[in-house]
Amino acid sequence: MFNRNCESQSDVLKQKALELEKIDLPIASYIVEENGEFVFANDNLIKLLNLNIIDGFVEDNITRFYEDAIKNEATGEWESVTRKRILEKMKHSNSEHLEGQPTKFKVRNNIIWVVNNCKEIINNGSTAGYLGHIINVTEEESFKDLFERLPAGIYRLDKNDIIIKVNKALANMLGYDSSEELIGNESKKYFSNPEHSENIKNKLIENGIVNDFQTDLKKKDGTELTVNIFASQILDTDLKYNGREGTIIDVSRKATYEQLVNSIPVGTYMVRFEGEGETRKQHIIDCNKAFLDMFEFENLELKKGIDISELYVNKEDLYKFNKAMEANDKEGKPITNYRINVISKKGKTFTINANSAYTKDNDGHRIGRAGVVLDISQELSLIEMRDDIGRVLHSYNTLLSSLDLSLRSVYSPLYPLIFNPKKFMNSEQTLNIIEPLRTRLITSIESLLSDYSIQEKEKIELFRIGLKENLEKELLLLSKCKDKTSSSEQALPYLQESASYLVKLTNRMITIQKSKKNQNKNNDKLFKIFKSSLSKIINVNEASSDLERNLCAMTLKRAIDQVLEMEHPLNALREYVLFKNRPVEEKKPCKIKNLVILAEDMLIEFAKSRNVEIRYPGKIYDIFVWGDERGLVRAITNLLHNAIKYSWHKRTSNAWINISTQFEKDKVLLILENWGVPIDEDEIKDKLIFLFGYRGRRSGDKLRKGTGTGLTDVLEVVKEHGGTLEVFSEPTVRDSFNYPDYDKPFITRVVMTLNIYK
Amino acid sequence: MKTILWIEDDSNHDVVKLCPAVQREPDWIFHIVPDVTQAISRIKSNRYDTIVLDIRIEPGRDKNWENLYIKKGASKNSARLGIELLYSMLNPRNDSIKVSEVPKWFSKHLIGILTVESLNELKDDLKNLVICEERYIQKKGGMSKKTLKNLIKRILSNK
Repeated sequence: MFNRNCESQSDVLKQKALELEKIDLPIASYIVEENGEFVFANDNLIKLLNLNIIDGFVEDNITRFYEDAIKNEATGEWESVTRKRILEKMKHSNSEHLEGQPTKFKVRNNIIWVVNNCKEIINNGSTAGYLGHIINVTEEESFKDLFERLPAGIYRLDKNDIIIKVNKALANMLGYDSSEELIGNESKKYFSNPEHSENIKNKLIENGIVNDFQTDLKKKDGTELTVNIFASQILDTDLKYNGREGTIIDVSRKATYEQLVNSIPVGTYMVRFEGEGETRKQHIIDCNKAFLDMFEFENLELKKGIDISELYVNKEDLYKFNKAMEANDKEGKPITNYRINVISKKGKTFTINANSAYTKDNDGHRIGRAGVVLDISQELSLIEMRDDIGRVLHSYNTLLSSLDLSLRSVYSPLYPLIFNPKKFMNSEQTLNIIEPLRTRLITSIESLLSDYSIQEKEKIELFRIGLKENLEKELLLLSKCKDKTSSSEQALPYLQESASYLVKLTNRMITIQKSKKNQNKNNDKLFKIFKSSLSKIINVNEASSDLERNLCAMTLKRAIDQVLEMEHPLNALREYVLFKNRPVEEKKPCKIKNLVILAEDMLIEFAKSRNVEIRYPGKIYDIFVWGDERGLVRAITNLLHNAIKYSWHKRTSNAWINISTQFEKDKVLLILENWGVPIDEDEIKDKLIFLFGYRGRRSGDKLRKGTGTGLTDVLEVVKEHGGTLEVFSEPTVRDSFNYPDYDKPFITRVVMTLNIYK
Repeated sequence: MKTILWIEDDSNHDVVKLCPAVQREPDWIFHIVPDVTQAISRIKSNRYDTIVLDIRIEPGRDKNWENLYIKKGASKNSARLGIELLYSMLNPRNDSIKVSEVPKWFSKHLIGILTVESLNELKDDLKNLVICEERYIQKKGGMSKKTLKNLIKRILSNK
């Protein structure tokens, strides 16, 4: 089609246009004036550029199609820098065809890529216009553009693994500014493990394609980049390997995420459903390392798409689990903390805590599920072990009760005693009570020995059989009791040992005296010796028996006290151990007064055995707190037991514990106060006394049995109830330097604060 | 006269019955201390022919030993300060508490161990400390009142 003003245009151009029309090339062709105004455009070009056709004439200008074309408002002419550059080049082409470079044209607001091959038309030595062919290369160029713009790296290698093409994205991915920096290099140079490059090639030759090959590439700065490589092979005409091409995706974040997922100690998995109803398969499509380890699988096996149903011990359990999942899903919730038995590939059965939710397609159909599983076998074993420990502790408690009864039953043969077994005595008091018996025994031995000191013949005989020597030795040991022992606790068995020995010795002497008829010659001599001092021998015998009997009774009393003392810690420990296994007790309003009374009832016998008086100097208010009664009673019992155990005994009066309550806004303060064993400041400040198993630094007295769990348990209970626990220990006596006298009792105050229930 | 030190925090109670047999020996001077602090103090101020110790003892007032005790679980059972004391005085490890001026007479030959811990639990430590198993006795039900005395006699005769 010609321009309307063709007649006025250059003859040369007209001539060329006529020739072009006649040829009717199958490609888009044109002739334009120097300013770009069309002289002629064939149908292909009209169609391609959607040229303006008015009344059968083409009225358009090629310049306006260049992407950077702008209309000069002053002249009304189209101007394009790109075209200007092309025309410049043309002037140096000696009227040869200039092979165009792909250029962007704007057609109807769309960008198309064209190659404009054109030639200058010269008339009388100057440019008359241009003859050109335009080829639409949009598809090819778009691909090229995509190649460059894709965020994924694209590459092509030759058969020797030399890089022949990479896009900018890949270059940038590896820290290079341009693709040219990589082209021509061996690909393995960029692999952290060069063997991986070879592995990919081998797999390609074997399978034709490689998917998801994860490896680390080396960046320009030496750091590493985790990537997934996809590759397909390029074959030559003989269908032999001639190189490869593909994409590389930066999966550093994904890799980091996967690393994280694989490092967590819970199993994660994803399942895809196949089929419907009972025959539905649930193939595992992904899982983390913990899941693999848990079920003793190797990754490859899972990729084969194992059915997760095979991991459940019991199909009925699985059915119930699926039903529960469906029920939860209907409420829009995932299933959580569902306990179910499973079996590993190697046949190990264990219990998991399953948490799972359906995955759905865009229409909301369930297409699979994903979840998190936790092996709780150990936890269950722990629970079972706790139960076992609880049972053992329970049998110990029973044993203690039985022991208590048995020990009390052997008191009566030991009467009369010089002390009241129902009254508490510390070892020093015990030693003081026993002292007259020791003195009496010493005096009786001295008296007996005085009889033997002058009769030389008999003396020799007595020495021969060791009697006199032993009496003298025991006399010395009894006299030096305080020097030989380092505590009153040690003095008691020490004295008992002497008394016991003397009982045996004098019994033997008395036996000889009483059985005259059977005496041999030697015993006859002894008979005569003993006869003269029989009353003194009997005195020693009675004194040592008295001492031994009373010391036995004291040992018995100590044992009974210890049984009572152990009863609560053992019970509390059992409660503490089993507390974790029990279902959470329902909380309810609990009257604080009742809690205290229940605690006191449990410890009344122990308090009596320790001569500790439990006092209520103020009113215990009828206040309610909201809580677990069992736990709160256990906590108060623990506090009360500690107070009894650590109370200080004066010689003249009983020890005491004051229990009282106070208010503070909406809180009630239960206060237990006593004079007792000091607690060091740092033990309170650093919360050492609340550590599990910690026994107070100054509470190491073995008469104060304990497990070091009491305050830990109390604190847990109090926290569970939103309360607080405070312990104060203040000296009652300070020295002249204001330093606490640790040999004197401290006032210990324990304050348990709980929320009042309204 | 022979001097004997027993490092035992239970000497006034659970194992008090072991004392008389030793205390009644006329030629023995018998000292008892309940914790590490007092043990070190006694060892530095007296010369002993035999030292019998328990493994599960308390630290006493020395801050270093107290800190170690807390670090090791604040329990006699977990802290095993008896063993730590032996390491410190006989064969210090990197993390052992340094005991200054350990007397020259102090040696593995005068050590005896009387503890509830089984030989199996102690085997490695005894090996490291080069203390032979004959110097160890386990505290257990049914042991004789003369257990401690016999151990001391054994150590005195083997020294």
